[in-house]
Amino acid sequence: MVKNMAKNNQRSHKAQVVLERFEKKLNRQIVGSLVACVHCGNCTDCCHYVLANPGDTSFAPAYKADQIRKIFKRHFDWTGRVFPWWVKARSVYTDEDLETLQDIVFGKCTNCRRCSVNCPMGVDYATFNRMARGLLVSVGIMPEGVAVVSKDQWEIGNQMGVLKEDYIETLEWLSEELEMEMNDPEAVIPIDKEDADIIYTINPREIKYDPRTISDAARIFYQARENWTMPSEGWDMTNFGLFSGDDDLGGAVARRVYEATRKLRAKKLVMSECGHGYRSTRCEGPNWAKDDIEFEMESSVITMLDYVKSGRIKVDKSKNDSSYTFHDSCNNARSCGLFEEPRELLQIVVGDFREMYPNRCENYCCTGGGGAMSMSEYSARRLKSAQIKAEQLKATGAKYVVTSCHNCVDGLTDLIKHYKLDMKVTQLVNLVANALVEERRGVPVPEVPVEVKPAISLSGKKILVTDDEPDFLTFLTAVLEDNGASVLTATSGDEAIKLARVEKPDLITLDLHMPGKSGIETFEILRKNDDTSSIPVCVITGKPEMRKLIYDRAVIPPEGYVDKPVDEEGILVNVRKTLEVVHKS
Amino acid sequence: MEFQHFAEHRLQEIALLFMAIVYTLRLIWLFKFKAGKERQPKTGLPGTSMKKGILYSWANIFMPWAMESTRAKFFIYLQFALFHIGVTLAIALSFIIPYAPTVLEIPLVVMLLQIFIGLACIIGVLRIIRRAGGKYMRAISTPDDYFSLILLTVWFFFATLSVPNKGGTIQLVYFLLTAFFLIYVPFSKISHYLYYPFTRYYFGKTMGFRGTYPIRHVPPPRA
Amino acid sequence: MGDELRIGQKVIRLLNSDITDTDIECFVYYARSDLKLWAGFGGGIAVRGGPQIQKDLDALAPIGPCEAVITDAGELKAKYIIHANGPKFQEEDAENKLKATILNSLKLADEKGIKQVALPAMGTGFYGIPLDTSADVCLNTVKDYLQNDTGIEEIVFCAIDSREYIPFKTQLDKMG
Repeated sequence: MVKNMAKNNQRSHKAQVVLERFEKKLNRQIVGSLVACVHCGNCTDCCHYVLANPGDTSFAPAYKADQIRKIFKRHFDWTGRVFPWWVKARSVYTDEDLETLQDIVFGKCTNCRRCSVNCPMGVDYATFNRMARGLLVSVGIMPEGVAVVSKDQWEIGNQMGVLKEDYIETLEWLSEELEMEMNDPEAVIPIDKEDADIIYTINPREIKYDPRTISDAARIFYQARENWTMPSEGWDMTNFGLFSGDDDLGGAVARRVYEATRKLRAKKLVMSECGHGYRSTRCEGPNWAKDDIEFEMESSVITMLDYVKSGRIKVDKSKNDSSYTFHDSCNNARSCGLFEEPRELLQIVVGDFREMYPNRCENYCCTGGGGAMSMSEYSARRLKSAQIKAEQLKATGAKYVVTSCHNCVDGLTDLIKHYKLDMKVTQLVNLVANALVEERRGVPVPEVPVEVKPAISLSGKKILVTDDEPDFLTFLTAVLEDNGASVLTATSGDEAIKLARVEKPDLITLDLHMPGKSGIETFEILRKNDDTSSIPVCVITGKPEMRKLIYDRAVIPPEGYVDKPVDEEGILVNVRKTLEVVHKS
Repeated sequence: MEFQHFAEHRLQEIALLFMAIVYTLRLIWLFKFKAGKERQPKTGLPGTSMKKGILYSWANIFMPWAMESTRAKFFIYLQFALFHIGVTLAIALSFIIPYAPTVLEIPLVVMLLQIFIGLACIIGVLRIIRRAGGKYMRAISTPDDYFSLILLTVWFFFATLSVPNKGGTIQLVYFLLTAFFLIYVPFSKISHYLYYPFTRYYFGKTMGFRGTYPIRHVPPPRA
Repeated sequence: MGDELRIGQKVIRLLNSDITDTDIECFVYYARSDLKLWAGFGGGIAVRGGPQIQKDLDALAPIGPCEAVITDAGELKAKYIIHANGPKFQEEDAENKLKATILNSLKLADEKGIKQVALPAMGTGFYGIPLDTSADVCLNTVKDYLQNDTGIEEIVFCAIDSREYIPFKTQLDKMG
């Protein structure tokens, strides 16, 4: 059908390829959604983009859907083919047409599915928006961040480009810390252990920027006396194929996780708290990979809930003594029905739980979903559209927002900073670990603990601290010096670059938001300069520009990342981790 | 008179037959597309299921409280309900007049039909205003959307006046419009009801299997 | 582990391995025309190999379609990297361009006197060339090349997972 119509010299090669693939991607569900819209407008007010951008009609779900629908109508719908103007049918002809479509499908929708569950006709816009993303990706039209993350996941095996040695080193380092903390040689993170009851898979963000979630999970597994393991390959249960619309990537990534599970003969695949990872691996992965899964798969939320309910771990909710609300991840709640279990667990581990409204599958997106966190070109739009979520969070009056999704952690953290809310983001794994009533096993560590190394000392390490806030500079200097480091300070990017060249520190901490040369510019100069390119950098920031460094990769991303406001422990954990990993590798 | 008889009988039969053929072809076309397969094990709470999801999805239309979009805009939902009742009755009228005219000798029936179809006509006018007057609605509307709505509203007007079955030009116009309506429907947005069972079936199946349907709505406690 | 096809004294081998972390004399990186090492294997090269590689590339960039350039491999296990600008995202005439890219890479290796070259599943994955097409073009091109006058003794295809390995093995078996 498309072939006949497309013998048109005016159409660009990419537009032609998109049309040909469009036809191949159509299934009955998608065709139903493309033909059934009556333009009733009921979806309009359901979208957070619309609510936060009053008057801008280009955010209306039906309008956005029509930008894909018009192509369908022009090529597949009777009326659209004969009288295109009558139903606003229009094909795509140029690469510019495709770029315009990119702005809609990537930049104005997080695929959260809130409009889908509110459509009286059952039109699932999010699903064909994802399809349209996939069509554009197949011809190389996508935001830079999407390209970086996709390529990392295709070729390195995880979406943050964490190299195998860094992954293993980090796990070993966390394992050693756990062993030391528990004073028990059995308190370890087992890697590639065969015949375990649980294989635990994570989000690479945990390795790179939030290793505490891994140690918290490890402590919980240890206390539950779980027979568990983490795989050395196929450990990333996130899947950028869900966001990019690339089913091939989706299948490849899911298959790696399934193969790791089978290879180690694990009984159950458990995914850490990540909404899109859960949906991708648990729900969509078998479809993309065309693999009928024979083993059990579950979210770590359910695993932890089972531990508490069966008495395998004991918790004391008074240890979590602040006020907490729960944010439902769209992928967990709206697309996988996972919304009661996290609430049940949360109410077991905290005393003051406050519901957020609307909630469950009616909740608003964190506004960073659908890969939006990787698309820094749309950050301003994303944060403006986060206003509705900010109001929703504020109305709870809680001090902490808990979420079972790493993507939501980042999205919420950004908007909390942007809207200056007095609130922090945390996850169930952190709260459960904090509430643990820990049983000391009484297995004494051998007299000569040859395998147990102390946490890396900062003694002898030269650290360059860069921040324009004098108070923070003093605080950071004191923390690092108290732990043995020798500290140099810089209050601007230029000063940091100069000092780094002369002093060659072992580590540079860098604030991103500084007057004059910004942290990003400073970072890029440090990375591109021969004298400083190999010095590890730990970014300490209260600003969301961090995304640009991770995803729009002109240079190697920073080795460490700490989110402001920050405490002593957070700084030391990240500084040690950065030094340790770099030192070892 | 002869033309009026033709308009009320043969013309309607031809139009209906045409619509049925086109609809059949349309369904064959829809079923040519393979349905996507779901391989994943079920998610969601115990008690949720694919079957429940499908039934819930189909019943959704009668449950304005089920979705936020209808819950929050009950007047719009009410308009929707009355408008579609009007459509059903105006179509029924096109069968009653030629095949069961005695029904229209009952004054109550005439009155009720006129009230409901008349209401639908008024709602049609409101909907035209809403579509043409609202910035968002204009942005998502096509010429077909406007034409279909105007067509139905005008059709309701003539249907309301034709209920007493007194013949004449108005009734002739009603039947001519009905025939045009039947022929036009498969090519316009009005054919949405043909797709409705399928879109809601598949969406309900997915959301039921994944435990999202039935939607669990937890509102804030009343102060 | 690995499957192989012998062509006289020469050999084509399959490995399941990360090409940027493989003990090999030289490997091919599927590059962009601007020669930026930006993500995926590019990130692996930049992080493991050090910053000098990008600096060398900046002096050589840009390159045209199907062209290839060679740099040292910095601190990587390999000695050299050939950066080859292959076809991407379903561009026109992709198969012929892929073949030309592979041939240009191998010629460059020969010019440098390299005996052992590793290639990834060229153009698959992110750049969207179907695996079967890549396996067919890659393996037939290198087989023909090894049958001619060349100093290259061993060509290794590094698959990153079973999804890549299997179609290459199937094609290799067909050719055996």
